[in-house]
Order: sequence, then structure tokens, then C-alpha cells
Amino acid sequence: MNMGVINLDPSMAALTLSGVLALTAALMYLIYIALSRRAPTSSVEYGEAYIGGESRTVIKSLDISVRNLFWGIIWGAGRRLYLILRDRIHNGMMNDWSVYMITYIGFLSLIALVYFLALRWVAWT
Amino acid sequence: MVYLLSVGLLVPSLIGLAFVLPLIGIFVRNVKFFHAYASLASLYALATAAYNFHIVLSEGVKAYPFGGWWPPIGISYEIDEVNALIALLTTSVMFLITLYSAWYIKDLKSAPYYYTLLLGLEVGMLGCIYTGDAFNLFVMLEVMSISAYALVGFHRSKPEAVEAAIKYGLFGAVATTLYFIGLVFVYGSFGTLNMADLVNKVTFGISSASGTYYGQIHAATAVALALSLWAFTFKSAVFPNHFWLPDAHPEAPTPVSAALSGLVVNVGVYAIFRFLYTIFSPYSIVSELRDVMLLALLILGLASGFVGAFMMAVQDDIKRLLAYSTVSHIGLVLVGLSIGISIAAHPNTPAYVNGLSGALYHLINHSLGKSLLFLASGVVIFMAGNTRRLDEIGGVARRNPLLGFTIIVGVLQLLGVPPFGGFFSKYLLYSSYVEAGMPYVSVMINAISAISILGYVRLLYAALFKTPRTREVPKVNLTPLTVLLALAILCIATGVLSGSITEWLRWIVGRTASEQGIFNYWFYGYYLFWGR
Repeated sequence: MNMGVINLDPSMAALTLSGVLALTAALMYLIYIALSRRAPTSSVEYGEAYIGGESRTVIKSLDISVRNLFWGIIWGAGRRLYLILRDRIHNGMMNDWSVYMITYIGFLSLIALVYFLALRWVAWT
Repeated sequence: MVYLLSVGLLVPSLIGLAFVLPLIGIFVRNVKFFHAYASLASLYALATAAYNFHIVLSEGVKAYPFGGWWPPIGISYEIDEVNALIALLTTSVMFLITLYSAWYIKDLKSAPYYYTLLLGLEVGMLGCIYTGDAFNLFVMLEVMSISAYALVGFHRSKPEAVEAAIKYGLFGAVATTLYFIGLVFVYGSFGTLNMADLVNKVTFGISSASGTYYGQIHAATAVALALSLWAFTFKSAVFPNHFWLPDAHPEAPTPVSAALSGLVVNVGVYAIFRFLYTIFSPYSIVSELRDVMLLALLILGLASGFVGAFMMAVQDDIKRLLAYSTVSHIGLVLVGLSIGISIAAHPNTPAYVNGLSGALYHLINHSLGKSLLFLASGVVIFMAGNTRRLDEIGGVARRNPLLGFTIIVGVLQLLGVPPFGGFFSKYLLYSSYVEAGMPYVSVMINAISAISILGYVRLLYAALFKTPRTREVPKVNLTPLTVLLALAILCIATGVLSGSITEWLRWIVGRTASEQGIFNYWFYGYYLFWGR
């Protein structure tokens, strides 16, 4: 057990981290200002003729879609977890919810049963 | 002073104030009246809860037997430092939510019913928190839940809202029924449902006015605890009992979402605390069973933290994202509450005190931060043209710097970025498990926080950093912004005053979740009335 970690003064840790975060934020803001100087301040629909055959409104926003934000990380590092959590666990079907919730009460009841049987065993021996 | 009238007065009087509203609605035709009425009722609740808190801090545990019937014969309310604090938190945030509602609820037709349900929700929560009777806890859980079901389906022309309310109501009814069956086991074996009297029998083994034990008390307690914990983890939306929450909370009116996510889930956590740290405490005859239950809660709390954090990162709906964040944070609070496992920490050790005070601190930080973000999301949704989709919100908060500021504060609070309170509460949780010799739990707490960054950045990016689609956004009046600012100031205060708050919470934990605290709960809730 590393006592140095335990005894770290939270106030000092907070102050140091706040300073680092403030500096990082200031740096990111400066980069943002530098990059966004020439960019328009509002999103525009793509209004010119488009010759590729697709819909005219291809570009809806100047920014990346929120849906796509971190998608690479999630899909790359946690694809299996994502598919289990979304398609098997959070699929919105009440029947499937019930299975998990009943499993949970079954688990708690099992604990109760094992506890009771253990007490009986101790009393018997 | 043995009784404290204000403890008993608050809930019944607030029930009266709530349920007389539809009747008043027949005669009064001014929507401003209902805003003022509900705000004053909520202020009254806040003032009374603050008074009770002050009295408990200065004089110790207080009880109130209803109708002059001494416990365990009649119902009694009993407050110690923990429930007085949670009641103060609840009434403070509810007051701000009621003020915000004046902006949100504009039409006369729905105002009386909305405020009846909102005050009903507050009454239910306060009843659950103040009660010293396990059966009355069931009744008040029902009062709270029925108000919550109706509020989730308040926008009854929306099929999603009705579906969410039905799902919530159906599973909620199962949860309260299971708790009721658990109480049958408790009553059948202990002959009482008064919490102080239960302490009397479970911890001190003394026969009381309600008689002695009957039958297999260990078996009955085991079944009762299993059923009760299932119900409490449902109310606090802990994995795998959390499924209703991401559907129900986003479909409710925004102020209600703030109350549900910021406050209602606390009731389940509080009930777990009262059951596992007061009634079935480490000193009780079922301490081994309690250990196993706490271990189960630790595992579920960590699972809840991970699932909530991960699901946040893949949401497209701002309110759904915040709802999953609630699942994650309540998981962390539960991790703190589980420190009482005997393999981790014994009462009064630094790990034990830090874990429990960290759980309480995180509960407060989460309530303030989550209410702030839900209420701010209501303003964002309004400004973005009534859409909840993150992609369509398009940086509207940039058009209102005050709104943007409050969103940043709320996100930093929940993320646990210093110097906000969320950092210090997570730090306490982290250090308590390191001190308890379970550093892998501390690592998992950090991992949960790290994963949740993805979700919070999505929120910040959508509300603040995406380029706005239009320069023209609807104007927001001062009422919601003032409420947001007040909550943001409270969030900042929880961080700036972290040293004092931490010491103070440690003191509260030392006075309640200790041998002396359990003795006091029994002494003031039972012994003082009957003696030997």
C-alpha cells in the first residue's frame, strides 16, 4: 500500500491540477482562435449544384457530427462491449429487462438461502 | 425537548398544500397564482427542513410520534444528522426546481396538476427520508413513486412519454410490492416495523413493547434484506435495475427530470444506508449476511458505474445522456456505501469514515451537478427549437454566455475536475479503498471517471463548441438563468469549501454510522418513550 498516495494533500492536488487544466484550456483556446479565424460563424446548407448525383444537402454542418465523436475509440477499443450493451442489454424490450432484473433478485435470494443453510450447518455441527 | 413538532408537521402539511391545488384550480384562473403558491410551499418545506437540520446538529437525534402514539405502536418520524442533511439537500434543490418550473409550465390548464404532482413528489421523498418506520417507508415510497409515474407521463400526447411512464410504473409496482413482502417477513419474525425498535431487537437483543422474536429470524432477515435491497436498488437505478431510468427521465418535463435524476434516486441510496448501517448494522446479529449483501452492492455499484459511463458515450439525446450519467454516479455512491464490508473497513477506521463521507459528499455533488445540467438542458432544448438531439442543438449555449458557463460548471462538477466538489468526493472514495487495502476498486473508480469523459465531452461539444446553425435563437428570461446560476454557485461552493465539508461529513458519519450513532437512534427513537 503506497502511503504517499493516501497522504497527498487534496487541496494541493486540486490547486496543481487546476493550474495544469487552466493552462491546457488556455492553450486549446489559442489554437481554436488561430484555426477558426477564417471560418464562418454559422453553419450553412450546401446550396450549390452538386454533380455527383447525390442530394444537394450533403454538407449540413461545418463540424463533425456528435454521433461520430469518439466513434473510432468506441468501435476500435470496445466494439464487443458496445454490441453487448446496446443490442443485448439496452435493446428497449421489457421482456429482456425482466430477465436481468429477475436474475438479480434470484442472485440476492440465493445469497439469502446460502446464508441460512450455512447457519443451519454451523448449528448442526 | 423529546419531540420535535416540525419533524412531524412538515410532511402532513405539505400533503395538504399539494392536494388542495386541483380544488383551488376550479376557482382561480391565474397561472401566476399557482407558480407563487408552489414556490411558497416549497420555500416552507426548505425553511422547515433547515430548522430541523439546525436542531439536530445542535441537540442530536429527534423523533416525533404521530397522534401521541409512542413507537412502536404508532408511526414515528426520526431524524439524525444523515437524514436531516439529505432532507435539506432535497428541499433546497426542489425549491430551485419549483422556481424554474414557473418558466417551464406556461399554460393554466396543466399548472395545478403539475404542481400537485411536483409537491406530491417532494412530500414522498421527505416522508421516505424522515420516517422512522419501515412500513411508513413503503407508504411514502408509493406516494413518491405514483407522483413520479404521473409526472413522467405528464406530456400525455407523446407516445414515448406514456410508454416510459407505463414501463416505470409496472416495474416500480413490482419493486414496492417486493419491499412490502420483505416487510411481511420482518414483521412476522420481529413483531415490529419501527426502525428504532428493530435496532432494539436486532442489535441489542432486548425484548420490547412489541414482544420478542418469533421463528427463524435469520432466515426471515435474509429474505427481507434480499427483497428490500432489490427494491431500493430499483429506486436508485443501479445496474441491472436501471433500465427504466434512461426511458423515464428524458420523457418527463425537464424540471421533473432534474428532480428524478438529482433527488429521487437518492431515496433508494438513503434507504440502503438506513437498512445496512443503522437497522442491520455491523453490530447486529446478521452482520455476516450484511457483509455479503454489501459485497453484492459493491459489485453492482462498479458495474453500474461502468455501464452508465459507457452508455453515455454513445447517446444522441442530451437528456438520455444525462440519465445514463445518473446510473454511473449512483453506482459510485454505492461503491462508497459498500466500504462497510468487514474485509474492507471496520467502523470508525479512517477508510470506513472516508468511504461513507465520500458517498455522502458524492451524493450532494451529484444532486447539485445533475439538477444543474438537466435544468440547463431544458433551456438548451428550448433555444434549439425543442430538439433533444445533440446534433441538432448546434452550439446554442454560445449565444448565451451565462447558460454556457453553468453547463461548463455542471460538467466539471460531475466529471470530478478540481477544484469542483466532484473531484474531492471521488478523491475520498478513491483514498478510502486504498486505505482499506482494496486499491483495485480505486483504480476502477478512476476508470469509470475516465470513460465518462467521452460522454461529457459530447455534451460540451454539442452545446458549446459546435458551430451554431443560426444566429437567431429565442430569448430566455431571467428566471431559469437565475436558478442555473444559483445551482452553479452551489457547485462551486462544494469545491471551494471542500476542506470544511469533508471534515463536517466525517463528523456526521462518526455520529451516525458508529456504535454511538446506532445507540442514539435506538435511545431517542424508542428508549426515551418507554424506558425499560
